[in-house]
Amino acid sequence: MKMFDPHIHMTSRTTDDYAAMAEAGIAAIVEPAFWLGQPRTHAGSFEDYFNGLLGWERFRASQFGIRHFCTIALNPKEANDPRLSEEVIDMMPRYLQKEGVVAVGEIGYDDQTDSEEKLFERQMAMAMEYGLPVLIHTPHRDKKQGTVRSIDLVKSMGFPEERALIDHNTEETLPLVLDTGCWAGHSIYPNTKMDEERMARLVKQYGSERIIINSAADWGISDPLKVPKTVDKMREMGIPEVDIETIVWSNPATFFAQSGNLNLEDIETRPNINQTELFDGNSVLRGQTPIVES
Amino acid sequence: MKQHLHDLLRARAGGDALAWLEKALAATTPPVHHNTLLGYYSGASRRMGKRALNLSQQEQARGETLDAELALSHWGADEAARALLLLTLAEQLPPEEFAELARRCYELGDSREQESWLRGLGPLPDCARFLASAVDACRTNIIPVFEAIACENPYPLRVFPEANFNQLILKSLFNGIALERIVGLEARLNASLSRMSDDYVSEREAAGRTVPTDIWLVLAPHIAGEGLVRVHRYLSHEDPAHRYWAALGLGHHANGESREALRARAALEREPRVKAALDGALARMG
Repeated sequence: MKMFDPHIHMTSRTTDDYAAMAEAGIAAIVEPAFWLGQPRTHAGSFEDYFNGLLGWERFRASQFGIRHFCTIALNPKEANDPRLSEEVIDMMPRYLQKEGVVAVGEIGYDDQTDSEEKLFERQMAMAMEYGLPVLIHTPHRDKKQGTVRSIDLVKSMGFPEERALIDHNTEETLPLVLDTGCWAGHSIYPNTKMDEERMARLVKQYGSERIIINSAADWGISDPLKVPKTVDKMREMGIPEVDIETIVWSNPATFFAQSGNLNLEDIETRPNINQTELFDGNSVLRGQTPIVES
Repeated sequence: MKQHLHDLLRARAGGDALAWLEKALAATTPPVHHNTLLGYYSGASRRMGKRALNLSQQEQARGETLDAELALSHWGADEAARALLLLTLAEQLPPEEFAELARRCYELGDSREQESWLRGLGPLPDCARFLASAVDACRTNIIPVFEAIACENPYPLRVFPEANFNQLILKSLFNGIALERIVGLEARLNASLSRMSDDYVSEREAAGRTVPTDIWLVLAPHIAGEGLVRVHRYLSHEDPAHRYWAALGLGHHANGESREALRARAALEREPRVKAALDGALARMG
């Protein structure tokens, strides 16, 4: 089965991960801009990070036959640093108009501060201006309240609900999101957030409409194969193939296609791998024989 | 405090380390070369070592007259040296230049330097001006850095606004950090902290996961309705730790609604520690 991991931070992962993901059937991914585990102290660091998401990382993915898209934003954690925020917001329009940028994200709440809210709102407005969907991160702490506030902001701004993906849901937040027109993401993690079995139970209860799953794998303890592993669990628990395929392919593809930067026909076929290609003179190979498909 | 730290280090460090320390302190005389100072700030771990100060009774008594809530005994020699360096610098430099250089010590610091910086915040003059950095430190995923600001440190108690303080408590619960380690917790209990903790318990129960046993300490004091019923349920939980903390938390409950529940449990309780907590909670209610 062809799968889509719509939230994975590949800059923190290895080529072994890419190979295993491709082997397991992952054909397309979205890498949201987030933080790097410790706060950046200069706005210029964001410029290089965004360039990396659009450049080297997309190239690396292509070397394993995986289509790489990304989302661009000032994340909620770093939205609390006034030295960065204005400059990063200023540079965003440049990036939001680039190919392969399929949403504004991750935006939302972390500590639920005033400055997070201000920048959340401003970036939602930018998404409207540039015709992009939004990927909304919900906080670990005080999650339910953070989710309610996010939904309230979507509604009060008149943001088209079908263009908002609210991520990292749990048993308690999912029904709140499904009551709106927004899409509901779930991060399947080894320890926190959501696991395979709980996810399968939610699908049994709520069906597949507007439900999305991802690995959210990054530099922490996480697993880039959580989407295929959840597919296995859903099958084991008797969820129909058509629902599984909706959740791990059609839903994320349809959602991000609203950006105009992801063509549903193009992604049906896997790109040919040509490992003799170079990016700025760099190859992902270290002496191996390049794979060249035709 | 400056003199106290200096004396503690003099009583412990060897000749080379002390010579280095005096050189570092001399570098605080204006005009201060910032990169030199940043180098001394970093060098403290290698030069002074990281052994805990372990204060004698006499030293402890003197420390308590200066700041009873500062856990100096746990500080490493390097951390004391860093705090001393910043306190000396604060006397030498104009406030703005000092604040800028102090912030750079934090931003350019490795984990140990950041931990030292956070532990040493309280004694700095006008320490509230460093609130933004202290709150930023709470966003870290590096647990020892988080513990340096959250645990055995009076700074959050004294300076953090309620919203930031509540986030700090929630993050401690997330990371399995015992709430007993938060200085002055009782003084900072509040209604939204109770509400947030109650939502967290709901989330954990819905996910079929365990609930931190000490969460009742911050949850119970301002809870009503369903939430209060739940605390009463945990008062009879099979794990004595749940019973203990639920009793302690209910002792801080804003009104006496729980008196009956506490009495009923006290009549059945066999665990001495829990029994004492129940009796204590009832005594608080009068």
